[in-house]
Amino acid sequence: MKKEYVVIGNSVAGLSAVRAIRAIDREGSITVVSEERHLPYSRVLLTHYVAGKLRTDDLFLIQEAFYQKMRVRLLRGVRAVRVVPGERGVELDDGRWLRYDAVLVATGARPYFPAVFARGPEGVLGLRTLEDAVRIREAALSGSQIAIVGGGPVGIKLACALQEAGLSPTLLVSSPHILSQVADQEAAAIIERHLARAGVRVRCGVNVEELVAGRRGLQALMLSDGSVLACDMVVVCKGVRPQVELVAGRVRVRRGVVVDAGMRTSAPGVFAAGDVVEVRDLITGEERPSAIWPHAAAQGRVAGTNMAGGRVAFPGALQRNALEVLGLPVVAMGVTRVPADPAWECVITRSKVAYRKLVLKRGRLVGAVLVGDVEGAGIIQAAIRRGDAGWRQLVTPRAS
Amino acid sequence: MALQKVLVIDADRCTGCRQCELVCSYEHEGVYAPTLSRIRLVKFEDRCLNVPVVCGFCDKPPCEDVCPTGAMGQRAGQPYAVVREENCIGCKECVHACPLGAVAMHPRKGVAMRCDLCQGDPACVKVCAPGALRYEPLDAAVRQKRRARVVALGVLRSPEEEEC
Amino acid sequence: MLSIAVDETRCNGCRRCEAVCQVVSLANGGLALPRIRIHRGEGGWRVRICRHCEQAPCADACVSGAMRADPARGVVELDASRCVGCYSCVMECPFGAVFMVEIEAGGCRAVKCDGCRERGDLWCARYCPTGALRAGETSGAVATQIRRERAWRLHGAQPYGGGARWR
Repeated sequence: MKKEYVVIGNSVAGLSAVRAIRAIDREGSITVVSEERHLPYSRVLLTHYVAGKLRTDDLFLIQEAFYQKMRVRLLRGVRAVRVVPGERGVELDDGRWLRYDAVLVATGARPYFPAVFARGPEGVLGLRTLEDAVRIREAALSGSQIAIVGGGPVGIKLACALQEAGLSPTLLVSSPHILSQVADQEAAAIIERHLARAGVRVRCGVNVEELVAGRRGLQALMLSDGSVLACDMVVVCKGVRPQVELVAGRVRVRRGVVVDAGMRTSAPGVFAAGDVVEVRDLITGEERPSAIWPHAAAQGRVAGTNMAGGRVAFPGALQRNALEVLGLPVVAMGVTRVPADPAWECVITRSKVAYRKLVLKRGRLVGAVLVGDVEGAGIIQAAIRRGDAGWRQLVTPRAS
Repeated sequence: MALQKVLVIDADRCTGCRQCELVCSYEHEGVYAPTLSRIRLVKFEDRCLNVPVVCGFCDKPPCEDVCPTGAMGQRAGQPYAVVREENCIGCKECVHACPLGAVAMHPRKGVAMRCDLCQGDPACVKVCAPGALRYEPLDAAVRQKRRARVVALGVLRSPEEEEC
Repeated sequence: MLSIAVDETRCNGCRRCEAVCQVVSLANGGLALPRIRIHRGEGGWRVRICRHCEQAPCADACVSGAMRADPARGVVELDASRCVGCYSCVMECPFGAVFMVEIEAGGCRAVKCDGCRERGDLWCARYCPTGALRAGETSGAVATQIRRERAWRLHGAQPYGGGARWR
């Protein structure tokens, strides 16, 4: 009996799952439902596109021929509206009903807009889709004043991209320093200085209180320090929220879709992977969404393998980011911000070009922040995953 | 952590029938396929020697030492190691490190594959007709060998005459 | 996939592998730098070379599709033209086998072992004087060979049975 697979979502998790299914099941029918019309592209590289370093064509991960070769039916620009686990079916917005033996929910996440932006005028957007990136680039090339809200990796990468595109963007950060969820204060200070030298204006400890709109859309932002920032576009980079609407009420959902280590939801035959799920953090044990690219790729592979009858598991999330800030490499992994508690220890090496910090909890490696010299970052990641107690050989930055 | 029982290999008794490979692959993979077996037979036909190769459950396992992700290791509360497949990246370090050659890569899953003692009741031992595979306490195995050696040296008539 | 056995205990730091790799890289139209690196470590030498993992974490993490497993060739392939220098693979590789190099156009990109084959052997393995590096064509064939070698050493090569044989 040929199995029927439905994959809802055509970004990295969905793509990874398709490959994994075909590696095991060459006969089953696979249908991919993609709300976006585009072929899968790299969201992480959207900032490279804004900077002018890549063209739109460079962003795509595969060509159309992939679907023919894999014998996958791709429905582009079609949205799934309901998954009915009891009937093993998916309803589409064009009225069609797809039957499945196994379905993967890989609907991703959408940008989070704080209340002040929720009903914004023209000129407020996030950076998640190719359309967003195209609008931002067009605005940049036409000399718009662009403000960015959010000091996380996306906000910083966008600020750098706009600087590379010839603008002097302003980055508004509510926390006392950038990368407040990702890196520590000292690393943030180094990066902020680097950004300032490059002409990127970073303002920390500042919130947007009101949007001022004119006849042609956004005109200015009123900030919590009393100042007014003139701009005609603001890009909100304050994180993403899982898009769980498709299955809310039918499977267990908290902040994201709840899955087990095999990426199975609470409903038989329904799997989920990527930015839409929440998983256990390897270091903290907390169950939460962890929307990074390598997780989506690995989870898609696990889900696809299990959908096709395999038995593999996702080991858990290790929060991590690698970014290149106008030539300055930054890697942050695991737990990077440390409470004042004798159980925690930080081993720091500083040099003219580098800041490297290892974080240990009860003598075991649980995190690291590397700025300027990220040599051996992967070796450190492996040590964090193993919870190694020996760290001496990891400390030395690039020697011979 | 020393095991209570050990998997004892007696290559002299092995006839090369491969029942161990077949039952192992069946237990773990649901098919009869020697390449999916955790115990593998090596034949040296010109010497009439058949050697079953399987994990020795070392107290200081090199496979665990070299594993970069910690995939090769013991689960809490269990005396033997398993491959935590979710962590295995398929780097093959364990394959090269094992002094017995007892680790291989799973041809389909691309992860390491080694004996897990079938949760304490090894299937290969049960099907080994010539008794080349035994699962017994280390003390008993050593004592038997010691006795056999002594017989071979001609000191005693046969092991069966001594029952102390 | 290609199977590279690295025995750091045999490495004597001669760096012949680095020299050969660099020459081969240049000869193949690439950069003049080695994709295998030898470092001083605690109590010995560290050999950093790609293991062409079957579930390569670098390939999972690559955001541009530059890093891909190629099962037909048995290697994890890095397409330099697609690399954008994001450092994700450097962050993933537990062997530290991916190196970033600056490029003329500005920015940087990743470089790693490409699994060169010269009459069935990697260039570095051919030139390693101590046997610290040995390469095998596929993991399956390599495991079979290892099993056979070690079974012989433990059971076959011994005169009256040797230590590992129970009688």
